[in-house]
Amino acid sequence: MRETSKAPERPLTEAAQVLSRIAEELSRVSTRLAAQAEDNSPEAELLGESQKTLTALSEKLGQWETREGDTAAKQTAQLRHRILQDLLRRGPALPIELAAATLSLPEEIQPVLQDLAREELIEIREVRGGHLVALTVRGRQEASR
Amino acid sequence: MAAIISLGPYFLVLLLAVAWVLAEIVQTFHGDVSRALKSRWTALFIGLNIAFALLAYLTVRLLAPASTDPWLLALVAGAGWQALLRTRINLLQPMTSGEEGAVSLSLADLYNRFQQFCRSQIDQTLAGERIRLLEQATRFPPDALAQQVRLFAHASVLRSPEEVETYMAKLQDKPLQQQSLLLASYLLREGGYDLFRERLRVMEKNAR
Repeated sequence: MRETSKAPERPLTEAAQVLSRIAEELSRVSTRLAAQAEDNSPEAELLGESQKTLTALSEKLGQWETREGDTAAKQTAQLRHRILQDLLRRGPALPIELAAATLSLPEEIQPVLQDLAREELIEIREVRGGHLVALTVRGRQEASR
Repeated sequence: MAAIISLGPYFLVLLLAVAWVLAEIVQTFHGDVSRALKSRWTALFIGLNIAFALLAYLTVRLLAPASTDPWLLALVAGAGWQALLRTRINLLQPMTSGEEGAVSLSLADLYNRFQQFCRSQIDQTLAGERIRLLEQATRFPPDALAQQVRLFAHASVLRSPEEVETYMAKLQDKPLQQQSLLLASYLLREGGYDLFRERLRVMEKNAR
């Protein structure tokens, strides 16, 4: 099967991860600076405030990232289920047919198909002009549950 | 009448062989049974099964005492042969532990290989026909196919028309060729080969 492009699959989640790392780093820097500044000086107070804000931001981003991860995992599980059900109901299919039948894009189902093949729930056979996806015995049992 | 009675057991063996193979084909290609049955590889699969079943019956008939009821022989040979084909039998099992050195009559392995070969050839034929139909469908603009997809979506119990509309909106960013291909794939999968081919014919006629 063709390789997918290297563009990030979930750009918002990746941006959140980067921001979270930056916030953590800035928080550490402001802690160090606050320690160096004179006690009770306005600069030390400002740095202390910034450090609290950055820590809170980092935590919020972390929570959002976890929620996003959960949603993506749920969507993947749903797509897996739909693929297995479609193969059980209608028999072997071309990957493009599976993408359309599950209302997904080819690049969305490709990693899911590879996972299912790795778990031996489906087999991807070569045919002239493409590939054919079919359930294995294990996949049939899984889909029938 | 006498000829029918004398040929009757052969027909019974033939019927058993066909029934067994048909059950396997229907189970394997349940989404596309009629086209799978039309494949020449299915004919070969059924033909060879019948030939070997009849050969097994003839062998049993030659070996059995002449007084044995031919119908009973046909039933035993017909069903027994089909079971034998799908079973691994160890003819000799050495008195040591393990299966090394066992002389097995692995008709099951041979049959399985033949079955897999026929299946892959039938798959090739069916997939090739579907790919050609999709190629044909991509000549139509996405709008024409989208109209058909809407009709199918309203008839489907699996997907709501809203879900399908959302999907079609998602496809808008894709190149026209890819949009057509995905919409055609949806129609092919949802409606099946025959219905989609018929819809394409109607669309072609209307386009002229």
